[in-house]
Amino acid sequence: MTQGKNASPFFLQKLIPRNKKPLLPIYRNLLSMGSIGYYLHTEDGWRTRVYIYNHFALLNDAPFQAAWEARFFTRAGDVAARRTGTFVNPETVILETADIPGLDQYGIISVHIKDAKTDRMLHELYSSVFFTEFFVPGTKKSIMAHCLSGSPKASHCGMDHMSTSWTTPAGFRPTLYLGNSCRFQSFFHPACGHAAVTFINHRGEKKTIQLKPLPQLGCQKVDLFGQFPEIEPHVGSGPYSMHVLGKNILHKPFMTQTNGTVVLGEHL
Amino acid sequence: MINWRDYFQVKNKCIFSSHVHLVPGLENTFTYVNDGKERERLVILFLDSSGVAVGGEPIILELPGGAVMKLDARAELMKHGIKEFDGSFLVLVSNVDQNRPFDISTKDHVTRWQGAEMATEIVTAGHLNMNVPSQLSKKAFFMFCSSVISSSDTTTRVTLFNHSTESDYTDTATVIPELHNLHGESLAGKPAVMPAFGSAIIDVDEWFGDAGKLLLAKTGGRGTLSVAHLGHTIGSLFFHMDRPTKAFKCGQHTQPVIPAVFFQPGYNYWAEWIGAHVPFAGQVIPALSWLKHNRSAIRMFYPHHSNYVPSLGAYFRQSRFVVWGRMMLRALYFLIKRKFKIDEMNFSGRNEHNEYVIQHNLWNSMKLFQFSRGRVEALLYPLLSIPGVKKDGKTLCIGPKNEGEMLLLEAHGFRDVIGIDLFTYTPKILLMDMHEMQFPNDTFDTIMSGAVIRYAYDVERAVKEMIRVATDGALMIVSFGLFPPEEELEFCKSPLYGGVKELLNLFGGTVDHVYWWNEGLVPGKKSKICSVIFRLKKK
Repeated sequence: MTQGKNASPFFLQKLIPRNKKPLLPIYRNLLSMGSIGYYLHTEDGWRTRVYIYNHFALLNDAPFQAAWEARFFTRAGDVAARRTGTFVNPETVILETADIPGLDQYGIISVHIKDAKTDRMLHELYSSVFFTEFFVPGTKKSIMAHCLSGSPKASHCGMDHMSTSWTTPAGFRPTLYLGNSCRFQSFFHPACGHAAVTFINHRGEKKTIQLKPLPQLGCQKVDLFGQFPEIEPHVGSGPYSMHVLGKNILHKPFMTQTNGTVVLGEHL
Repeated sequence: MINWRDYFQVKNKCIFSSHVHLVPGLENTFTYVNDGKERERLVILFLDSSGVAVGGEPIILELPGGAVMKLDARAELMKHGIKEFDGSFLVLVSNVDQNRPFDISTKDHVTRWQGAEMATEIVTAGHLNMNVPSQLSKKAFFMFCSSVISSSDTTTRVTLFNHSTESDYTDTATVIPELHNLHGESLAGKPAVMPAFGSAIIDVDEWFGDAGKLLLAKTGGRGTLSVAHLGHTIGSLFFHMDRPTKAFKCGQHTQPVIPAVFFQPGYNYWAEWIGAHVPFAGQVIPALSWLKHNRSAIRMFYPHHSNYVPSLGAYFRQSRFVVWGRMMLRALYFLIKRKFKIDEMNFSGRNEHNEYVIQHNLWNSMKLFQFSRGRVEALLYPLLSIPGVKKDGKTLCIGPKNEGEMLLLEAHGFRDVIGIDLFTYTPKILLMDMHEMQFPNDTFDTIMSGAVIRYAYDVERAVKEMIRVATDGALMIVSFGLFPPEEELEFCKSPLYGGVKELLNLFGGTVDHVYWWNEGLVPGKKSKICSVIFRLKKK
């Protein structure tokens, strides 16, 4: 096992001989999907870049072989495309949805980065951290998003998530993307992702919208002002909070806002 | 003049950090909502890269619950004659009343940089403890920005903040940014030196110079910037910046590589895999999962060895199997008789709090068939040891959710037990809100409220109702849990953080003799269970 001059003792503690934990690769390969995010590949021109970086190589400041796997899901939760590769150095791979045939207009994406073929491996698993950039080619419209740092899992429990300090500038329309974190077989397993979003405006008044159930690993796009016209006057121009109450909803939802020229986007 | 660092000496606090980028034509705003109930003090600082506060003094704001802070960087900096600025923004948030607990779980802060054609916004979470001098040796920091671009119209900016929650923080942090192209070829940059509360603004092209441009040019101007550092926690954001206008096209906070939360060598993750690959497992797994999380349901199949058994008959009546079996059989009987209809109090949107309580208990947590026997017994046995407990009097159970609690009381000899809750399937539990009970005054000799009082939206009013319906000399049994902020339910944040003492203060002069007072930490958890049994004095 080599280690470079800039290796941090903190990170080296995480590296252990591979034969000490024989079950770890099995857990990692079978149970984890890595980390998760959203992609857009819409008719109105939105495309997505996925940035995957071998952050394992920096842990010991020396070559560290890793394998990566990216899976793109349709909005119904089916695998639409899959890409794999390997890393040795601190390399970066950029996947563009424009180069991947068969994608849906939007959906969720999972990226799994795992150490491979070294005599040592990570004692504790590390998240497969990646970033996505949503952009319209030929324009300056661009949104950067981080992944959600965790494999999707079917908690089958309630989700209670509050996000505050949101504003929608005049003339902007917000669009919300939500995913189902359950990855059970859909055979005889009903759409189990449910969410109600409560908007709390700056006066403390509340309005709740109920969203359609989501299939496993499925994704839903909600044109908030179009599908729920009562929300626009309710939130006004003042800051508002969003309270997502539901079951099996991917933590976190993602929201974009645009007036046609300028775009904004961030996870709740 | 007060040194702005003195404001950091408060205990219950958090900080938010962000980047200030003010150029002509670009707006830079910061939004924060106090979504709690406590009055908060905000200490707001615009800091230059060396950690010096603009104007030397912070902006101090006090926000009542629900109030909004929206700050325009241009307006604030113009007060000091500053038209262009690159630095950092630091907000210290704390409770005005420092005796009140501080809840960070839902606090967000949004920074927006908006130009005529481009805009970006970043949500940042707060830090409760950041760069605490006594803990520095344990901290390691590792971040990367894998979307570095250097093109004719776009460059990449990474900002690093050496901020702290502590007033005595004086460390200068020095990090060495490293640039990699897509192939993994690397170039170490010059050190970024950040004094305490200072920042480093790394424009990739300028920082790495021609060597950096050459490195990135090999892979189409794309690459990754990384920083690994031991000893301090550094906040960091990155942006794609439009070269002509210096406006930000997009941006995000970098994510430190953190130990993954998904690895637990236990049941759930194998269940995940089975559920994902085996047909019909989607039905079986949730049921097994329910059993796993409700172990009491399994334990009820064997008789319980009670520590208060007056006779063999009582032993059987009180055994787990019998109580649980009676509860389930009765539930089945009533549900079939009612065609599986469960009555709920209808608030028609007038009481959203209580509607959440129903949703949580009845549907989200499925407490209709969960009977936490141990929790009831923890109160029942001390109660039974009190001389003069009126088993033949009237007993009220507030919020039992199902018949379990009442059947257990009956098995221990209580004759006339009735319950009230917001939903019911049985005549033993009346539909009633604890804030406005429909019983006449002076009705009950014993009132039990197990893990319910903090569901009240107005605890004081619920207490007044309990006093009203209790007889003079009645025994009151109340328990409730206190949880760390991250485990609190959104709608379950009524007071009582002061524990039993605060509850007894609400009962005021009606508290006669306290027989039992317990505030114990739950083993292995940060939560605390409070319980009290006392006699009421009304005259």
